[in-house]
Amino acid sequence: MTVPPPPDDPGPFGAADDPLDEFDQRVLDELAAAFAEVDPPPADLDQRVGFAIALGRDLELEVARLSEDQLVGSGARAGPDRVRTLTFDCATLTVMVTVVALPGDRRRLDGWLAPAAPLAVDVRAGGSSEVTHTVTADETGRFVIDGVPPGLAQLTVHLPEPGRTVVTPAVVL
Amino acid sequence: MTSESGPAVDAAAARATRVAGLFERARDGDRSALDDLVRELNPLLWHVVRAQGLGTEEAADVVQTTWLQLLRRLTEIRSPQALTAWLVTTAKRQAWHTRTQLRSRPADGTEVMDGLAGAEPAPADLVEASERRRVLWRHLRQLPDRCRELLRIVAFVDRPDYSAVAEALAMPRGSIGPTRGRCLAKLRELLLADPAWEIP
Repeated sequence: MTVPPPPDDPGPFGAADDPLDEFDQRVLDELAAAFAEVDPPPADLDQRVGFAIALGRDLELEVARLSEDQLVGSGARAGPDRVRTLTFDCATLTVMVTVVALPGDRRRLDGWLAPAAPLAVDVRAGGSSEVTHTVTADETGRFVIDGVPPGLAQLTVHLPEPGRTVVTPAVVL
Repeated sequence: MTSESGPAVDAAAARATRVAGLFERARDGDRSALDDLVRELNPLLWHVVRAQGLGTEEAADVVQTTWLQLLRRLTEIRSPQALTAWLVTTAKRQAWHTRTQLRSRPADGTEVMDGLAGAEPAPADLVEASERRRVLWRHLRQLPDRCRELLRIVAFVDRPDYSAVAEALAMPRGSIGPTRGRCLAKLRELLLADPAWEIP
C-alpha cells in the first residue's frame, strides 16, 4: 500500500472542474446534510475506532480484517448456549475465535491460529486501554481465554519476529 | 458564476484549517489529536464505504480497519491532503475487498448488501423530510450511479482536499469520466430549473 503522490498542482480544484462558488458549496453542504440524515454513522463508531487505535502507532502491525461474524447453534437469542464465531484474516495469519457466553456475563474465547503456531495472544477486553488477558497458543494453534468481560475487545497476536504483530479490529463481545 | 466567498465557503475553510492542525499534531504523536482527527474524518470514511454498498456492520469494520492501517503509515504522510486521499483510497479498496468476499458467499452474504447506491432513502422514507430535501433527492436520483457516488463522497471532503481525493478515486483531471465539476454542474442545472428549489 502506497501513499498517493501529491497532485502536481496543489490548488484546490481539478482542471476539468470549475471553481466552486457559494451555490455549489451550498448544494454540497445540503447533500452532506441529506446523507448524514438518512445514513448516519453508528453512534459508537468514533469510540470503536478510538479503542482500536489505542494500541499505539509505532508497532510493526499487520491488520487482520473481520471476514466472518456468525451466530451459530441456538441462533441469536441470549443465553448460556449462545455461540458466535469470528474470523479475522490477513496475509500472514487467520485467527478464528468462538465466543461462548457464560453465566455471570462473562465470555470464553476458544481461539485457533492458522497456520498453527505457539504464538502469544493478548486481549484488551471490556473496553480497557491495557491488555487484560495474555495466553500462548499450543502447538496446534489453539488457545482459550476465560472470564472475558463484555464490551469492546481487540486481539493482538505476537509473531515470531520481534515487534511484529497481527491486530484485529475491535469487536463488541 | 457568483463570488467564491461566503459563509458556507468560510466555514469549510475554517474546518480544513482545523483538520490540518490536528494532522500535524497527530503525526507528532499527540494521541488526543488523533482521536479528534478520527471524529472529524469518520463521517467522510463512513460515506465512502457505504457508497460501495456495504451493510452497516461491515462498513463500521472497514472504517476501523482503515484507521488501524494508518497507524503504521502516519509518519510517512506529508500533508492533510495526502492523509485524506490515503484514507479514502484505503477505505474504498477495503470496502471493495469485503464486498467481493461477501458476494462469493451468497448463502449468507445477501442480507448485508444495501445495493450499490448504499442507503439512499426510498420515497416513502422522505415523508417527514422538508420539501427542499425531497427536491434534492429527486434530482440526485436522476444522476448516473457513479455521479451519485462521487458527489456523496465529495460532499464530505474539505475543499482543499478535492484534487487529492479526485486523484485517489482514479478520476484524473481532464478525464472524460464523471468529475465533481460535471456531476455537480448537472445537479445544479436540475435544481436551478426546479421552482420548488429555493435559495434560502
